[in-house]
Amino acid sequence: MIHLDFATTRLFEYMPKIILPAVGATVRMLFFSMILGLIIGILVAIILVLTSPHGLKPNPKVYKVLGFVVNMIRAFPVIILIVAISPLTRAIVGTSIGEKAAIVPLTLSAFPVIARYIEASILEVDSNLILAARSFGASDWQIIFRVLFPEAMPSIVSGLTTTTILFLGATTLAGAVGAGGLGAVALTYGYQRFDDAMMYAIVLILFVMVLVIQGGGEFIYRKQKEKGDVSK
Amino acid sequence: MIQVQNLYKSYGSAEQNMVLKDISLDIQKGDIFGIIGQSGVGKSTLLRCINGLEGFDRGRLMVNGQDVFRLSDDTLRHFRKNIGMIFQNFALLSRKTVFENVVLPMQCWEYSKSRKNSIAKELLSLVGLEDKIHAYPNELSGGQKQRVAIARALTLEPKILLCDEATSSLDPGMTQSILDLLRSINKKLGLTIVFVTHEMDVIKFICDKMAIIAGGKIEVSGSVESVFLQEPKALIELVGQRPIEIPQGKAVIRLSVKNENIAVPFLYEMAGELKVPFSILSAGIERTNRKRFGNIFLAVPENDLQKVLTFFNDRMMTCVQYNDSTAERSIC
Repeated sequence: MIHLDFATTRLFEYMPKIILPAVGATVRMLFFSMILGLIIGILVAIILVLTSPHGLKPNPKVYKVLGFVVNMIRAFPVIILIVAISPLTRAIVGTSIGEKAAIVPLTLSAFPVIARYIEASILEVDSNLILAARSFGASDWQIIFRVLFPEAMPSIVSGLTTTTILFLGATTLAGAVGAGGLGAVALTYGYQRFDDAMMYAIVLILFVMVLVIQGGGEFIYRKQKEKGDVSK
Repeated sequence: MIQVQNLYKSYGSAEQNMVLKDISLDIQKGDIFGIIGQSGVGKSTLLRCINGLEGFDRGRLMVNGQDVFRLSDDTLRHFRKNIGMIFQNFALLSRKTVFENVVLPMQCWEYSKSRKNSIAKELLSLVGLEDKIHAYPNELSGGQKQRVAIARALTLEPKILLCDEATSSLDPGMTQSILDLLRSINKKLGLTIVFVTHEMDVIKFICDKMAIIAGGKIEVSGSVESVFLQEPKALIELVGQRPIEIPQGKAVIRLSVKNENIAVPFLYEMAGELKVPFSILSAGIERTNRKRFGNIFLAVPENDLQKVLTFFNDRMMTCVQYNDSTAERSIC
């Protein structure tokens, strides 16, 4: 039974001191891991699209190896990944705990998801467009950047929105193993101190963040989709 | 312009995967050449060999004096500049405007902005879509989309235009207008057009020469008029015509009427001169591109057969006795 005890909660006391900085930490972790994940994800997606059996430059070996690596990383739950790659994290950012350290495993688990989303979106593009582009002498790079990405954009945007919300959850999970942010606050100040009001306040903040991400994603999606959509 | 000699292509090595067998064709500059056949007989594959979208196993394919087999990836890109292509489903980018679609090939070849603009505007007015320049493909009808595709295919000033079932998803009125457009472009720009289709009407309407392809082989090729007048088996199979039954005690004559004979009252003259009681079993005069021609099947009494044959042969009209084996004979 949820028991919100506003008499003893320290929610209001902690709001400026602890919760607001934690919101900042969560946003930063999410933002940087998504940006880095996107950069790596795009590169991986391009290689997957190029080398796939029906791709522009089929190369079964590269495709299979990369596909295997991507699937393997996706099999790791984020929380396990954080622990498992802590030596790597330490080598990259100098520490294995805290906000910066969390970005490494979060990026690592985000890029395969993003790469697969982009790959799937690009595979949806009508293959005749590739033929047409080839017929006027477009190079593989031109086909990717002038034909495939622009055509797949609405689908990529909606995939990225879903991924970002998924990884908002992952950042709070990372809070449990020393990353800080809203997850950690909810756990240590809310759950462990039996301060339900504190905990649910943080859930509420996360809920608002989900709404913002979803709304923003849908806004960009609509902007993208309007291009060429007759029903506008 | 395009010479195909003994071209073979297969997917994999097995004999039954052979999609093109011993294809030979000679397409001249300025021709509108039709390749017709049922679905899945390899006609689109043949078309894609011509611009190097697909490779082949054996044979020789010369386009614009270049041996396609020997082209490296980079020269292949340059080679394709000279060959435009349009498709059944138009292959337009749905998220780019008409203008953006048309300039895409020129972007890939880094044309200057002013050159891109002027060529795009010129071609869009050629295809009659100046007013749709900022529209998206979804706002256009099928015929208009194909017009955009044609404009896009012409941007790099190709010498050859390949049409892959380009009118097969359009309704008859739009098909007609697209074919009219292609014919006027053929005249105006001297463009060689290769048209792959399964619709006989398209061939009749636009093509000068044709080839019938079945089972990966070219069964018949020649001018549209000669193929229709000879009625080879491949043509009969394609149009699904039933054989003519020969009435008891009669002989059947197939009389080929060419464009130059069409105005002559030959049946009237024959009846008046020979006094032969003939009846017409079947007759069809095709109206094509520029010509009218067709076969007329006459039933005459058996003993008058020779008289009638001589009468028409003297007038330089092709006339043969029809029996079931006539239909078997094919020309090449």
